[in-house]
Amino acid sequence: MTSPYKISERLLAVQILGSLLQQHGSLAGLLDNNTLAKVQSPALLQELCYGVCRWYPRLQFYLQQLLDKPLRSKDLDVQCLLLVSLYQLLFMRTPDHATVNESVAAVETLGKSWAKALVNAVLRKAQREQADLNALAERDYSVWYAHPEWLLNQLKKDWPQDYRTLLDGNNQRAPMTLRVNARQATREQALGLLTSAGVAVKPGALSPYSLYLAQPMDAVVIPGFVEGLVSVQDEASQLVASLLPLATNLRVLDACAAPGGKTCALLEAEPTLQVLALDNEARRLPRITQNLERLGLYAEVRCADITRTPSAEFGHFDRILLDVPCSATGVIRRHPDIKVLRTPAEVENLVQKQRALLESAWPLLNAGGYLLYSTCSLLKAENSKQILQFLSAHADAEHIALEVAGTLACDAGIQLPPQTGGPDGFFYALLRKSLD
Amino acid sequence: MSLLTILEYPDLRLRKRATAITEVNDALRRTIDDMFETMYAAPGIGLAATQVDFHKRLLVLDVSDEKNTPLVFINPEIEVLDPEPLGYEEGCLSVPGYYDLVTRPRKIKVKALNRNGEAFELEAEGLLAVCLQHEVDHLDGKLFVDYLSILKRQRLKHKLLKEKKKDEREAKAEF
Repeated sequence: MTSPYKISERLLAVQILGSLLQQHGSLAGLLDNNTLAKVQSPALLQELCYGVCRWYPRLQFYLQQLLDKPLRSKDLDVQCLLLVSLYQLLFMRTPDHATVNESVAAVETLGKSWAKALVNAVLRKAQREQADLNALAERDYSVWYAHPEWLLNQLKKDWPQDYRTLLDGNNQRAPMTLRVNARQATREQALGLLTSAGVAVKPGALSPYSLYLAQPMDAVVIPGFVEGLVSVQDEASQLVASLLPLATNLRVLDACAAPGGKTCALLEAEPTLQVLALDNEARRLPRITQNLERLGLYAEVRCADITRTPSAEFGHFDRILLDVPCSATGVIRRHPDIKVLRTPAEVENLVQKQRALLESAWPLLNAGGYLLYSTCSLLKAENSKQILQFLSAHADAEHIALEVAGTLACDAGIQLPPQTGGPDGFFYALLRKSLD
Repeated sequence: MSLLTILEYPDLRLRKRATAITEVNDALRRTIDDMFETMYAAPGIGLAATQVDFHKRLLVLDVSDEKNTPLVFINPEIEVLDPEPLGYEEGCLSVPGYYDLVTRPRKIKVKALNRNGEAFELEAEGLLAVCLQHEVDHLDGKLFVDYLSILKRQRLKHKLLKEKKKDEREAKAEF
């Protein structure tokens, strides 16, 4: 019998990137557990796929310089193989001869023997002319910072002072962050327990529940995860429990709840809350329920879209969390395929959707109640501009200033930039409904 | 030690039934060593004597990640302990490059002789159980592709024969 590991990481990476470039799914979707089980080193497979996406605009530029003429569209597999190989050569410090030899051999497995000489020539040239290639790449910001042109331009327009910090932040690797369940332990107790189990963690600066893992690891093997002591959640998302003013027995709506991380964060901070957790995608509801069950929390979970269901069905709420669907431009470091997949037209649609959600949520809020609006976007159209527009149209909406360290100056709400070894890029705005 | 040639499907010699081993001697131990060398070099995690055209009831395997747990089974006999089916993507050194899902009983007990001719028993689950059943099948002239649909098997057979002819043509062209 042969070993069950049947496909090399680089060949599977080539297949996955091919699917991605043909818009057949996201990285997180394509790299499911079944797929990861097909290779000997799932970590290497992930590194190759995420790395190529993270540097895609730059790698694509290198490839254009190295090829005499572009590859035909039916040779997308050869193109992906070259992207993976260039990533290994130029970003991963894999020994050069290994990369070149394996790539040339892989061409044969793809059934494209004609491309052997081509792949060999391109990779050897990349080795020789690395300095020249970099010098060329530095001339074009979109190439150098590896962001699509439209996104780079928009970030530059929105954040003329800070856009380079944001671009750099997007190109870093995201840390893995835990939220300690305040129902079960204090952060200090959890830290002690994890440390004694040999898991190195350190507390975060912003959320009182946050612990940063020194090394990412599979969630289910983290001591205490299965028992509900800790959850995996970025520190920026954890802030929801600190920023929304909570009190006992309040009725709370989490209007876009899946996968339930923020619902659970609220309930851990204040377990007497009566939470209605909604999401418009039925297939994502089990994730919310699973998280609640693991943590020993309760919320009513329903499939609904507040922009479509008549408001009378839900009643009224003292607090509303509106964690709207967004461009996810603040979490590019976690989902670098956004660089490959997102289009400006999608962002425009999302802005409309967010506006509709705000308009539908507002009548559900009791007078004197608070609505916390959040996105993991860096774009003003989805963030401060969206809120300013809403404030100008609603006389009964009052903007409440929030204070979090390290945020960028904003006309409304607060913008967290993605920070190395720190939180994701995130936006929060708190609105209060006047009492009259 | 020397590398042995592995027979490839649809070679009819893979269909022979192996006969019991009556004496465990130095000659047999040399064959065992050759089979390990061949298996590790392939690389594989299990090899039955039938696959190297030696039609005696003998198999070797090593399912450890570190490749440091060689096991020898002489005259193996399998008893099913848990018939609940376990599905596994199997591959075979005699069917290169092809993998497919095969379901087999989940837990088994195997009785056999070791390389010194001493009897032993072993309970096996997971990959070890899969691999043992796969190899004992070889000794009975059976291949994992026999569990697949006739259609799948025919398609595979044609593909492998075609590749073999192509290889032969290319080999001729080189000389």
